Amino acid sequence: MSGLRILALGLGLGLVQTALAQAAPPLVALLATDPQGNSTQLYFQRAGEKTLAEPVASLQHRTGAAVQGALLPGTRTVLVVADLPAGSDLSFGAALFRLEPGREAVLLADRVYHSTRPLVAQGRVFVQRGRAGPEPSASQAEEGQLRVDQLTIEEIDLATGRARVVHRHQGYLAFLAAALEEELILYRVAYRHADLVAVNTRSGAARVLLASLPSFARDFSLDPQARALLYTQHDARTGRWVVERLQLDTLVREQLASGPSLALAPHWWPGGKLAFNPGLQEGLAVGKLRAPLGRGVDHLRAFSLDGAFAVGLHSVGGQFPLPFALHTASGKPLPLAFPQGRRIEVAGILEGADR
Amino acid sequence: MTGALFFTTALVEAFCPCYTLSSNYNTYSCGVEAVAGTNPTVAEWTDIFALVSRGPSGWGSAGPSARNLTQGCGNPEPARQVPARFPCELLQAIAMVESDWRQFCVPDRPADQVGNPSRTIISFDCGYGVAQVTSGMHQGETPGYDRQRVAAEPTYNLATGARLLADKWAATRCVGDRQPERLEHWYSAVWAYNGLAYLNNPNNPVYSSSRGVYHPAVGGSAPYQEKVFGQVEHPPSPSHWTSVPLAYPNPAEIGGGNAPAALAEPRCASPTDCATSRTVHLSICLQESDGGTDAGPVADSGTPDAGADAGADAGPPEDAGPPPPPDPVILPALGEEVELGKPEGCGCQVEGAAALALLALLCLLRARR
Repeated sequence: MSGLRILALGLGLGLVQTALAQAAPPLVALLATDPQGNSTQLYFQRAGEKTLAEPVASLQHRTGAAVQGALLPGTRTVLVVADLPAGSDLSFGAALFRLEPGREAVLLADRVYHSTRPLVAQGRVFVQRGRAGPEPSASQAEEGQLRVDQLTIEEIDLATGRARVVHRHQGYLAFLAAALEEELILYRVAYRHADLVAVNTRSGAARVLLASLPSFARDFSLDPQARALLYTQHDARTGRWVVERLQLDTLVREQLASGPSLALAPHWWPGGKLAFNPGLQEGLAVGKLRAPLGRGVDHLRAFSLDGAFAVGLHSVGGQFPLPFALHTASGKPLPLAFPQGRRIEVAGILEGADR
Repeated sequence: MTGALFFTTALVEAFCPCYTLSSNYNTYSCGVEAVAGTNPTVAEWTDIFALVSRGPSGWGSAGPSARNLTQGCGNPEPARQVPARFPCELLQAIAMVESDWRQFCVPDRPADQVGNPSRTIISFDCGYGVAQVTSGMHQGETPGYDRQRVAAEPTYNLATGARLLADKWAATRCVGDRQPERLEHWYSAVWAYNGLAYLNNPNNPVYSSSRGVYHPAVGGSAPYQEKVFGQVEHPPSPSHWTSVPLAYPNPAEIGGGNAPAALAEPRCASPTDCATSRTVHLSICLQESDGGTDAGPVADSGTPDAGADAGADAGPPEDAGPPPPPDPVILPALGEEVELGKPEGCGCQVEGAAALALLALLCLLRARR
């Protein structure tokens, strides 16, 4: 065999191997919660496989708890925020847990804000915590004031559970919107006021991104390539809900899309496109792709590292949300098995050698 | 085509706390000892709710005093004081959310209460009984009602909860024309019953922007008042109460950084769907007691909201159970032809490379022949 032929053979085999590796459907971390029970199970489910995998870990929590999770990239560890059995005020009644296959769940931190997702950035984990303040007085209530709470953003050591306060805020909400490099983007709400700030996770230094914005912002998504923050906002002039993009370096803000519903759920899409839901029943729109999963709202959760696949939740109000996996190039959904009768949360896509 | 079934032996949690005064785990200084007792039946509870809905004039010595309610917000009725009365549907739903209609239960926590017979349910932060009354129930507090009876008597406990709800009606702003017999007009008061905290603001970004009417069988996170309203629409069974598809205020009207402002007549079909409309509803209990018009949906007698659809009720039919299980796990295929632009992403490039690789191999094999 000539050298040229050997080279061609080697090149061909290499390309085939690369093609096969990159085309492998994603392994998705799913959290399945019994809606009337007190447990959640963790699954690692391969998209495209019809047989449901066995659960790899389990977590006990409050009956009917809100459960959200995030995969620690490059590992098989999932961080979960779930409500603890507690009293009637759920505000700070949740806890951060560490879930790993074959191991008992580990409680890392309590007093976590209800129904929040842990933010994982550069291998580090951050949560919203706090303590409730006193109920507003009659005169304060007359003015429309709500309870003012002591709020913190804290980094939690995954091995020890030790907490380090990164930011403090006194008000209604300090929400972990996104992270970019060593900064956390926080959406903060107080009495008749909201702002966006960036906080350095090492020094705690805060810089103001938006000194004032309408306190309706939600569904934050960071476009890492564009270094821009996407979110839904309400436009009081038109009465419509809009997708805003804030460039984090220049602080230029612009509206990209609008709709009658607040469920726009904007998200960045590989290639610099905007993915969002034009209406409550219109499904995802990306370029010319429309409603790949039918009527409802599609909330994107994660992309594979190569951008080939997207995973998320397909939501029809009042019903169980359905997890989905999409091939980003074609928009075609892949079968994704999940346990029935459970409320599903998508924690991420397992990548790397841990697949 | 379905995935493998997942069987679990996990039991539904009993969750019966009893952080009574004498417990070693009473860290929140609960001030009243639990009292032994057994719960009323569903039928007995229904009678209790009907009684309490009539307010102090109905419950008499079976409950505490309660303030009058301000009725009317000038749209068109001028504000005036009326004896307190409460929609039984809301009382039933609040009690279901708070305690699953339990004044008593067999304690499963804290540890020093396990083994005791059925007694007052007391949460760790001193919520007592069916209405989970916390106000005035801590050590040293002296509220204007009998704390022992709050712990011991289902009717008294529920009436005390109603008294607190009346206080919240007074502490919050108008919804619509502020008519106590209209269930939706209690939206802000129900919010405040769980505390005037931002957690219950429907614009809080922790809540899904696509959440519909809260369904207890599905669960998930929702503001407290949405859980109560959703419970009204989804009773545990028809024998508990009749489903009522309540209307919701527009979240844009509520505001994001404040307690609920004065709100127009709620018209939205869900907390996030204002494109579809619903009408407000009269409480069947209060209509019977007033001898007034038929209960059920109410045509708006005030100024129509701009842009509101005069549509029929878009809510679901009466629901006595959980939703059907989700569709089979295989998601539907792409339902329409989609023209995409220039292929993007590594996937396409890889597919092209694979084709080239195969071509290279074929050429190689052909050359060897």
